[in-house]
Amino acid sequence: MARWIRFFFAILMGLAIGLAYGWFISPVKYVETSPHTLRIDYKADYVLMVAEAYQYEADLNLAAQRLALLGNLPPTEIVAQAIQFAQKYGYNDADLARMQVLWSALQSASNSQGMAAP
Amino acid sequence: MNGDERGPWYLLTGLVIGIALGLFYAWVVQPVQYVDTAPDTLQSNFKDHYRALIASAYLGNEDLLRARARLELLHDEDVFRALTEQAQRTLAENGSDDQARALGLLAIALGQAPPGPAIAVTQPRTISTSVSTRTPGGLTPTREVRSESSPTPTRAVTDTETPAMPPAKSSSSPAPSAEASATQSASPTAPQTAPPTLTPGGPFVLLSQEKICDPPLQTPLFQIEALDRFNQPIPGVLVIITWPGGEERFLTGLKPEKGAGYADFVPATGVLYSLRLGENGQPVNDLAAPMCPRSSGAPTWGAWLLKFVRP
Repeated sequence: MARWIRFFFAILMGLAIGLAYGWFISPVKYVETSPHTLRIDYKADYVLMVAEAYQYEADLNLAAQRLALLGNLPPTEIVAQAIQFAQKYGYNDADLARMQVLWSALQSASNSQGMAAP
Repeated sequence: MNGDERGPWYLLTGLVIGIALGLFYAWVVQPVQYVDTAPDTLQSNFKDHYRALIASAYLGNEDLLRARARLELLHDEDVFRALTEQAQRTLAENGSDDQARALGLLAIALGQAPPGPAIAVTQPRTISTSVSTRTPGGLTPTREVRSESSPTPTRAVTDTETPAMPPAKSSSSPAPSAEASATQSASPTAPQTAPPTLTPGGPFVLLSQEKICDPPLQTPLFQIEALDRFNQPIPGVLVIITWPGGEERFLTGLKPEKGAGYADFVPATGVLYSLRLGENGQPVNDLAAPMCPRSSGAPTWGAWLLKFVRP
């Protein structure tokens, strides 16, 4: 019986070693990630870039396509999250204004689409 | 044979089984999830997208330091080269001309501007940014660039609350944030460089065409200069060269050491080219590799210097 207990503990020890190696020493490396996995501060900066580009290009469809890379949420929601982050972390007023402009444009487009729908 | 005679090998067997189970669980069943990644881990096509977005945003905010800091997040070995190559690739793959122009203009601005305060210059080195992929001709831009260190945001943030709608605009003064180096405006003393802008006007027309034979060249060359009506160079102008069965598009200004409105092209021998600036520019047809006579020996290659002006 003691033999089986020792065998069981050996498995447990091996399991612990395997987990430690797989999680800490040599974890699975994700080097081919997509924008939706970006950390929230990078996502907020991404949204700011979209807003800055929109300021120059005035192309709402292009802005929405760019925002779609950040996940499945509606573009207005993505921008809203970014605005909240930007306010919390003290982005300057000009940047906040750019994101607000983008959010308003997306919201207007969303509303008009909703009205046009049967 | 009893257990004592078999020795402790069963313990090793248990250990190996445990390690195998542990690795299977750690690598397959429940691998480490990277949900808070940085831009440098992005897939290459997403990096291209990110880089293009930085360029478009730069045209909107005209903040070169911010663009530079954002580009550093991608950990490109050579930022200028990455931008110019992507611009050329975009044109070669019939992508958006506007996108290629934005990339080109940002590259040009980075080439013109001194290194920003956020960038530590270490040592200069020379690179070749030849990016032409289609024969018979090719671009041969080379320039001096500086290798730079990369400031990156370091603070991880996990706030994921979602407002139903954006709160009112904040009037508080900016404070250092998680990504201050990437999103906050430059310091008051930092130089700001506005993006090179395209001058409005009509299509480009040929101002002059001159054969340059001195000094003799190893390979023939078309040298193009885009000028405005005040004879000032214009960067970011699309140059379109076509020949039977091929086309090459590139931008002026990607060799800042030779002038903001300059571009060049290495033609193949025995091929007639048509060259124009912009989609609607006046074409210059039947351009061939220029040969220069020499008093002794075989003729050498020269260059066509083509100056275009936007009236």
